Amino acid sequence: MPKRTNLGDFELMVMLALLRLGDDAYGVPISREIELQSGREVALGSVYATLERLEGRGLVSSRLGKPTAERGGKAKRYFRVTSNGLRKTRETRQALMKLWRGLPELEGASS
Amino acid sequence: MNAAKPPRLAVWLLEEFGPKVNHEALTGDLNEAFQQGRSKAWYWRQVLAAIRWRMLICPLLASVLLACDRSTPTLLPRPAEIPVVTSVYLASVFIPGMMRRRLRVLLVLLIAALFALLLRYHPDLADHYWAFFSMVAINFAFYRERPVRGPHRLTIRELVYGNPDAERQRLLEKLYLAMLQETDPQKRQAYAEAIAALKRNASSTVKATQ
Repeated sequence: MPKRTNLGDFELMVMLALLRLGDDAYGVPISREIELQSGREVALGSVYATLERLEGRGLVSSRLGKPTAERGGKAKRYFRVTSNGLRKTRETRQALMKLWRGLPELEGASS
Repeated sequence: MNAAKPPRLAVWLLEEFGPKVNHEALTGDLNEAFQQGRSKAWYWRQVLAAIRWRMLICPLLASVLLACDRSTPTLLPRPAEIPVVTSVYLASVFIPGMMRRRLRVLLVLLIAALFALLLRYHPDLADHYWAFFSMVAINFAFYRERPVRGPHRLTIRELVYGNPDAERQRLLEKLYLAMLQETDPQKRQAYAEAIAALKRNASSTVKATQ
C-alpha cells in the first residue's frame, strides 16, 4: 500500500480549526469551529479519532490540562499543530490548488 | 447552563464501549458541552457515534448464529441461551479491566481447559460453542489497559485489601459531580473546599511517603 502523503478531507478541516484556535484548542472548540465553518454537526468521537491519527503521524502534539468541575472532574487535552503538521497542511493546499486551477466550470464561483 | 444530568444509559455505554484513547478528554468534552446547553438528543448522537460498535455487534452476531444452529444440542434451554451467552460475552468485554494480568491469564487457561473437557466428552457441544469460547478467551487474553487515565477501575486486590488512593479518586469524582449538580452557591463553595482539602491531603500523603 502506498504511503499516505496529503491530508484527507476531515483531517484538513481539523488541522485548519487547530490553526485558527491556536494554543487553546481542545475537543469542544475544535468541533464548534468546524461546525461553524462547515455548517454540519460534527461527532466529537470522530474529531478525537482524527486527532489521534494526526498525533500518530507527528502532525499534532497534545498536553493534558487541569480537570474542572464543569467537565465532571475530567481533564482537557489541548492540541497544537507541529512544524511537520504545518508543512503537510501547506503541501495539501498546494496539491488542491493545482487540481483546482484551469477548471473553467469552477472559475468565478464563490460558493 | 444545563442543570440536568446527561442520560445515564448513554454515560454507561460511553464508559464501557467508548474509545480507549482520549476517553477522559472525550467524556469531559461531552459533559462540558452538555452543561453549556446541548440537548440530550445531541448527547445520545455523540455517544452513538463514539462507541466501538464492533464490540456490540460481535455478541449479537454470535447470538444469531447460535440461534440459527438448531441441529446440535445446547448446554442451556434454547430461550435462555441467547441472553445468557450475550451477557457472558458482554461481561467478558469489561470484567478484564477489573483484574490483574496474572488473574486474566489464569482465566484464559481455565476457559481453554473447560473447552478441552467439552471437546473430549461432548464434541457436539464443543462444535456448537467453539466461537463463543474463543471470543471470551480472546477478550481476556488481549485486554489492553487504557493509555489515558480514565475513571479508576477496581481490582481484585483492592476488593480484598482496599486502596486509599482509589477511594480518594472515587470520592473526588463523586464530589465533582455533586458540585456540578448543586444550584445553591454556598453549597457549591462547600463542595469546592472539600475537593481542595482532599487534594491537599493527597499531596501531603505523597510528600510524607517520599
